[in-house]
Amino acid sequence: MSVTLWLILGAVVGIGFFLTATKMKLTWYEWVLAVLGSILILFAIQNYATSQVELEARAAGYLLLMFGLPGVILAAIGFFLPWKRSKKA
Amino acid sequence: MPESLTRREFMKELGKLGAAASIAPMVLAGEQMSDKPFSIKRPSFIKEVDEPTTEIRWDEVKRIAEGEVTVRRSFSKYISQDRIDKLTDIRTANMDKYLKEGRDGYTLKDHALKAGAGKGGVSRVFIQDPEKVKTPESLGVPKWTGTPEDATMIVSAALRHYGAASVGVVELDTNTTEKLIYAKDPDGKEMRIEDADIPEEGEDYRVIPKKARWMITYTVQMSEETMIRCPTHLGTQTTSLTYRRSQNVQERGQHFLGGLGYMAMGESSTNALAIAPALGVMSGLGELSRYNRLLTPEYGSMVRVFKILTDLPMAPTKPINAGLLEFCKSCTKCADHCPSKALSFEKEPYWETIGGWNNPGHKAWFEDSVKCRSYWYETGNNCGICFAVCPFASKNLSSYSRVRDYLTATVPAFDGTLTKIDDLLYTPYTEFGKPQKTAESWWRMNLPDYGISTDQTVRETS
Repeated sequence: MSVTLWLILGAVVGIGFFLTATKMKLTWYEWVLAVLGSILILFAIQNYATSQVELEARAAGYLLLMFGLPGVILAAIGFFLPWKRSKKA
Repeated sequence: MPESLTRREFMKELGKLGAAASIAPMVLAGEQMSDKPFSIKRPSFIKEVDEPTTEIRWDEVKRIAEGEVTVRRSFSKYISQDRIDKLTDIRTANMDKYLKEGRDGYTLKDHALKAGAGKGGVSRVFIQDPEKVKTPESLGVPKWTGTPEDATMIVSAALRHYGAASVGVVELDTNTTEKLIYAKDPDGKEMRIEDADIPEEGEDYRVIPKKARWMITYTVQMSEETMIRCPTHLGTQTTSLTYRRSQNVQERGQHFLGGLGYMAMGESSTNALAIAPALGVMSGLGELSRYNRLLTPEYGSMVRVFKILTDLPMAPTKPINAGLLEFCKSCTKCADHCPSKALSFEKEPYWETIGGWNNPGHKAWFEDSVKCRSYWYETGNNCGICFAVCPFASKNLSSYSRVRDYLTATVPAFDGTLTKIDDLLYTPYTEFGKPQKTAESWWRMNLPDYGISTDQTVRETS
């Protein structure tokens, strides 16, 4: 993956976490889930993109699924719980 | 120097230049170069070890005559001439049939590619013509001197610049590693190790001076994208091309060492001089695998191994443990996919050899080379499926490859799982004995030079 793409991704993740930290109040375990989920999603994106470069389309799809799916679930829980709480409040 | 000189000024400047040239090597060698020990820069989980992961009983290791022992050169020693004739007929018929029916990987363009890949390399020679080597003596300067670590560093840099992928060094020992030099080269010439000043070649012998103690080993990368399309013409030209490229590396390496003022004995033909995988293991380029060849941490199975012997004192590189041999204990992928069933399914490597082509004295998964070679006749090619299906035959761009390498080196319990993941990701539906991808698809790819990635590894001193 090109440096530019990583910069864009980094900015998106950074802004996402900044907004989360300022707009919502996360417990420690929600932070853990959110960070872990985000790491897995980034790992999945890196593996997907580089496997495409390796001309291994099947591996790209599976790696995206293997790491992306648990990443999305963890990140969703991490961000969803405080969002739901803030809605109630 | 002034723009124009009188005759007298010119001679005076020439004198200064001569003095500078004579001390320059000493300055370079003694003061500007680093004295740090040479070590290949690798991830910390790849351990340098004193003893290789392959167990060796050096007292049982004998110098072998390559041409008289290996199936490659002495096939007729192991099977009858009738059988060879029959296999030859099968090959001729199959090649004719495959070409005319336009079988994938055997089409005219694949055939032409293979023909071209086998051309272009310079001829291999044991020693370069002394008249053609630009020695320090011919330049009027002393030979290069430096620490052994510096020597390994500059030779490694030069060989990599010439096209080698990784470079190692074995300091030969009479009772151990010296036995890996063939007793006879493939052409039948006796390899004499003697107290001589210079290497020599006669009608039926080659002399290796005893003072040439440093065996330089180097790998040359193969293209994974063509190799996984074996056994076809397209697949098999991978090795032809790699061998040709290695010939250029050898010649350049010999001239480089000669240019420094040292001797350089190379392979007089393919797989000559000494046992390449064994020296690759001893110099830490990789470990011995289930398919009984060198498996490297950087390029997996996608390499060929070569060597040059010199009297330039060099710092040896140590054997490694990257968990690769251990991984092979639980992974039988190469054996599973081997069409000729020539590879072992045993969990542990063993001391007992299978046939006269195996070299005793070390623990390995010895292969049945006759079965392997016979299959080559059927395909009209040198197969290579074992190399192609290896889980480490990957381009290593994805982070998953790094995770796999880390777990391989540190947690052997995951080896079986990693093999299953590799099956799922890379070789899910490979039909037995068939290429993993169609040859036709390769022609539409836009691959880098030689189909290899030269940034798969970082090689620095540390």
